[in-house]
Amino acid sequence: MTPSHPAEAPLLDVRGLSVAFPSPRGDLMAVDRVSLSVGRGETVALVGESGSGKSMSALAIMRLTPPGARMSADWLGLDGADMSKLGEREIRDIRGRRIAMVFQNPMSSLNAVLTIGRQITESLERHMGLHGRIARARAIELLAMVDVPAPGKLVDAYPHQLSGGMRQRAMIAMALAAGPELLIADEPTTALDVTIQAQIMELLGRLQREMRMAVLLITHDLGVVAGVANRVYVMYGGRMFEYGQVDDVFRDPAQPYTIGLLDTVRQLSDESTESLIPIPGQPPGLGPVLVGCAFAPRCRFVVDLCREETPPLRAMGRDRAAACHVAEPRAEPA
Amino acid sequence: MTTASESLLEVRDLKVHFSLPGDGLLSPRRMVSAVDGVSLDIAQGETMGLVGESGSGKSTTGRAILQLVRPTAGTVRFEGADVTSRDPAAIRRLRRRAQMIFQDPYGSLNSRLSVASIIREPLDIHRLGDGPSRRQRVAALLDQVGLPSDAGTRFPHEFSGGQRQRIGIARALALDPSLVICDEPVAALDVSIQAQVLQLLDELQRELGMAYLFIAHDLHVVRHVSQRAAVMYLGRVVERGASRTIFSRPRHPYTQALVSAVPIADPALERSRRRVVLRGEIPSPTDPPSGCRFRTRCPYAQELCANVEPQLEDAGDGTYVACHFWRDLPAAGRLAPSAEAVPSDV
Amino acid sequence: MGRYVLTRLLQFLPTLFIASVVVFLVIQASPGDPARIKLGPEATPEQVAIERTRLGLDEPLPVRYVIWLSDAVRLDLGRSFQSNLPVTDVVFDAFGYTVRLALAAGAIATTLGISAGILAALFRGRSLDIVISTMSAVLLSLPSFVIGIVLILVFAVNLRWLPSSGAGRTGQALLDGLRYLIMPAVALGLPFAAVLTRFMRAAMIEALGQDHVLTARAKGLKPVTVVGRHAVRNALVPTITIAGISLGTLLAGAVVIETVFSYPGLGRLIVGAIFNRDYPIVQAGLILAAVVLLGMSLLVDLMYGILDPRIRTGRSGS
Repeated sequence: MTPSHPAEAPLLDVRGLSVAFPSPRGDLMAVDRVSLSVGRGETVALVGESGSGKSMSALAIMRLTPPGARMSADWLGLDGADMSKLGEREIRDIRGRRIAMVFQNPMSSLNAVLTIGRQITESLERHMGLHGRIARARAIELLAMVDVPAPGKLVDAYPHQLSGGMRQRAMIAMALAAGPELLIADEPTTALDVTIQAQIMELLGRLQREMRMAVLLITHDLGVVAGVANRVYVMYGGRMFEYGQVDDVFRDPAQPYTIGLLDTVRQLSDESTESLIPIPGQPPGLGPVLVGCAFAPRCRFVVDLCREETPPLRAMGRDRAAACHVAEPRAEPA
Repeated sequence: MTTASESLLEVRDLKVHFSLPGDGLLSPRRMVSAVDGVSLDIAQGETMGLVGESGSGKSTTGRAILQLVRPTAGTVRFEGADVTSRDPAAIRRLRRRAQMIFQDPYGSLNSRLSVASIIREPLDIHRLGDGPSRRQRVAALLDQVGLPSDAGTRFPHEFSGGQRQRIGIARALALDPSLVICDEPVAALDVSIQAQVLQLLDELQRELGMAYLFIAHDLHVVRHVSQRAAVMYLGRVVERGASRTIFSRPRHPYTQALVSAVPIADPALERSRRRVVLRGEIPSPTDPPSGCRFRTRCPYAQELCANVEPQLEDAGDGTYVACHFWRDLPAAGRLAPSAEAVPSDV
Repeated sequence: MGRYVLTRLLQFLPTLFIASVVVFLVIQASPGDPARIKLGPEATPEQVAIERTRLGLDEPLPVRYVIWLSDAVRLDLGRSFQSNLPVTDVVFDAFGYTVRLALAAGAIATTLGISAGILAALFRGRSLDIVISTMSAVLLSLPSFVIGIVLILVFAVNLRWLPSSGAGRTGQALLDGLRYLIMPAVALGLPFAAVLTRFMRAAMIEALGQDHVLTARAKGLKPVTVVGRHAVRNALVPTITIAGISLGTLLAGAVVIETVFSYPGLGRLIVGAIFNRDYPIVQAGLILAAVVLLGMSLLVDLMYGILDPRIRTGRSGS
């Protein structure tokens, strides 16, 4: 079930991660026993539509689940050490220092009443022990690194004085302040225009190479995944449905949901498409632990077994797996 | 281009200027030209796409056509009547025959009304039919947009985003419009739901024959739904023509950049293609650049571009381009994966 | 920022002018002849007529307004009909007491209200929150004069710790003055504190749920920093508005409280002057109250500017 890894342990190694919201009708499962790993310097995409549990998984990795949520994991490994057993104080030393996060909406994710500079220096104070003028100078350097015009001026600006793209650059500068080993980027370009999105993705790629940082990219956009990720995980209804090398999964997806999603996106982007063949039905909402496959009601390959038994992740080839009763192992590319 | 005689909608030199208060009590008000001289035609039963990023004025154009925003200048002729003349009969006709679908299906539905009342409201306002016939019409509309028949007694919050958009579509269809302006109708929806709503819009058009003005930022979506399209930048149309042509052979540098910025779900192609990554961001519409509005971000800008504003000119094959140098530009990459997906020189 | 202040000050003047007209007209239109009241029922019509001329009451209304306004801007507000003392002295004396009372009440209200609100939000749904919320609900439903009377019964009548009325002698030691101030200030401040508690609690809960708080936590900041730097300040913005709006209520409450405690403030002065048809005092008192209210709203706006950079710097992109 866990992927076979090279001898070296992956930087991030999540096993059996669950996030549940207790309710009178029993636990509602936002994330249901999800496993994933990110190697050093690797870019891994976590893909899913709204309600798939991808953002909640990211928050759970940072141990930042909202109040009322109950999180559990068999193993939440960072560089071989289990973070799930750490105390609040110890996990705070990891947040922002070793794992940093960039969020979707750069306006609401920045504090409107503090200058950009202040929001960067507070990370430098907390993790790097830099203060005063030195911290400020470093903040200007960081802003220069993310290619904002006039970083010396921008350091004293407030978020509302910046455009969306500039705010997201400032967010990235802030996240990278302590030189993290892993950056979790949760839909970092979804709120931005497409020309600005291209700028931000280019910037993230460059910074990742320069800082030799691993990136866990959470997105719904398969086009973005195709451009930047080495490996991809696909989530649906709180569960992990498929993972593998981006090339393998995009060339020959195994799980019917992945197949349908890729078909839809390609039909849209292919100019010869006459009419769309959408996946029918609605994605599942937050609910109690489900018996059977979460995609069964929408799946065109569904058999009785799909409704009776939850399909486990099964190997579909080298370093890839899918959770489907019907899917056959995939042939290796020629 | 369609000739004027068969046009359902004719927009000529439409301008919408807003004035914002100045910074201080005595400082002058600032003018924002959200839409600055847009012309377009829509024929009966066709779909016209309107593409642009935020600040391009695409949504304001849609609203100004429906007279939800008062145009500062220009004319809008709908079904032969000039609706900008404030002729009450023409306005009444416009309100009945032209409808709108919004991006946020939840925000545009009154949460305290049942779905049936929401769909029925236009019929009540325009006093069409009697009680039983309105009820029948609501039931027919629910069926047409693929909602269960018991949906009428429920409330908008009980529905998912895609289903709410169906409610909005049913309301727009209630008066049997000849034009529906769709303002980012699928932008807030997940990919699998997007496809469902696009398919529904397509089926409804085949069945009922209305025209769409489809406003969106997503190039793939616009190319898929529209026969013709216009690309807007900072209040002006920079390129217009058959959708397939302008997105597979973009001639304006902005369209080229837009096409090249859209990621495609094909790892090999994504890694191999070269991108035109535009520098900088869209300037503020309070202070647009002189001459060509795109010149501050254009990789090919010359002195002429700062001095003379380019007008749309016929580039053959029905495409119109507003660029001084479109003939001299290198051909740009295609939007879609295709046999000759070789990285271009741009 | 300087330009912003100037703009706000310029907006201040027309409002003040309208307030002065309204005050003037209301008082002139009120029934009862001040000359008659001053001279008593036995005075002859001739005596009353002479007194009216002396008081300047026989001029036409607009003329009287212009004369009053031109004197007023030179801070000459005439003399009290009743005591014949200069109005300016009388009003400013009383005003000094009210300022002391309002400041003390405001200090009690903001310290108590804001800290209780923060605590309630941080312990949302737990017993501390329930205790604070219940107490604020009770205090909100009690009029301040009831609280005043209870305080008098407990601390003045039973325990005899504090004086029940007055403000002490002039020139007394500061501590002595404070003894007179405590009970009226508490009575006036507590309901106001309850209002602020509720608003601060709601604003804090909202602030704590905002995206930028999650960002702050994801940076690994300590809870104290997250709450102090990223939630409290943001929550203060809406709370300050409410505080500013409620200031009018605080001043109105001062009238009642000053009467309950026989405290020689502006409120009590105006109430007394209304009963005596002492127009110059009433006019001056009300205008001063209007200036104070406007000044406070200006102050609130400036506070805003300090707390929320979006107001200070405008919305123009860079």
